[in-house]
Amino acid sequence: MMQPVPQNAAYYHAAYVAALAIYAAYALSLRIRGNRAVERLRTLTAHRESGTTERAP
Amino acid sequence: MARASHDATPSLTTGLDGLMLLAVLAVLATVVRAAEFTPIEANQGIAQKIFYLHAPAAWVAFLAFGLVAISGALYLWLRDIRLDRFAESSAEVGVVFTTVVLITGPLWGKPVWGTWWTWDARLTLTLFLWFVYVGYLVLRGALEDRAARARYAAVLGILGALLIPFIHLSVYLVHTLHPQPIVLKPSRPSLPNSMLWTLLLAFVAFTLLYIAFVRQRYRLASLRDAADALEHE
Repeated sequence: MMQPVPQNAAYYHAAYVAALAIYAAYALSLRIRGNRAVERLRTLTAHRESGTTERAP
Repeated sequence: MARASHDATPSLTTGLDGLMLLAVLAVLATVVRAAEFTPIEANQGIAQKIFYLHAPAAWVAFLAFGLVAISGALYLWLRDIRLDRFAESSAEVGVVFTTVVLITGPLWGKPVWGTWWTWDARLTLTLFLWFVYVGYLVLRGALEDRAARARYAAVLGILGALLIPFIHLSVYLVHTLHPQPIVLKPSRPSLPNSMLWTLLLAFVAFTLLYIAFVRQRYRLASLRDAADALEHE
């Protein structure tokens, strides 16, 4: 049987959307920062192996 | 001086994280169970279901900051840089969960209390907790010296966590609008079983999400430290 939806459903939906958006945005930021960190380490390792002394950006 | 890293060089592969996948599935299961298989509370209506996000986020925030304090204290004793990396990771994830607490709380308060915010003890102290750990992250970003950064951050992390028992006990110590604990209390949980199981699932799901986030954030800190070490050689 369908339950009646009280008038405050908008707050419920807003809370779930906001919370899941915050968690998803943080997961995405970890992914992006992780990829950047890997790239930086790879560049520095390559420079070190090739004997150059330049710093990675 | 902080001891040199004890880690092996961190992996440079960026594959699928099985633990993160499990955490995401658990969170989705919680959302579906809360929405479709948990009854609507008679007095508060559907807004009461915000509780299945709000209470576990608060639990995880307390867990995260409590572990920041413990690992900070252990760092000051052992000077093992891995403890500092863990504290840094747990603090950042704790701030994310506290942000969710501070957003979902007012979204529940407006329909149930009739106001978005009130300056009562629990709400105000939770806001202070958020400020302290945002300050912790800003402090870390402002200090160049690795050992000084770890030392100052450990002290602030320990002091910030002193707010946690006051926040938990504030509903007993002072008059407050905030409901009293319904699970983390000496007597039996005051929830019907259908709601209690959803809440327990939510606690497990969001704790898994915390572990998955901290694991990834720790790896990021390890990669950064390895790159910094190469750069300064």
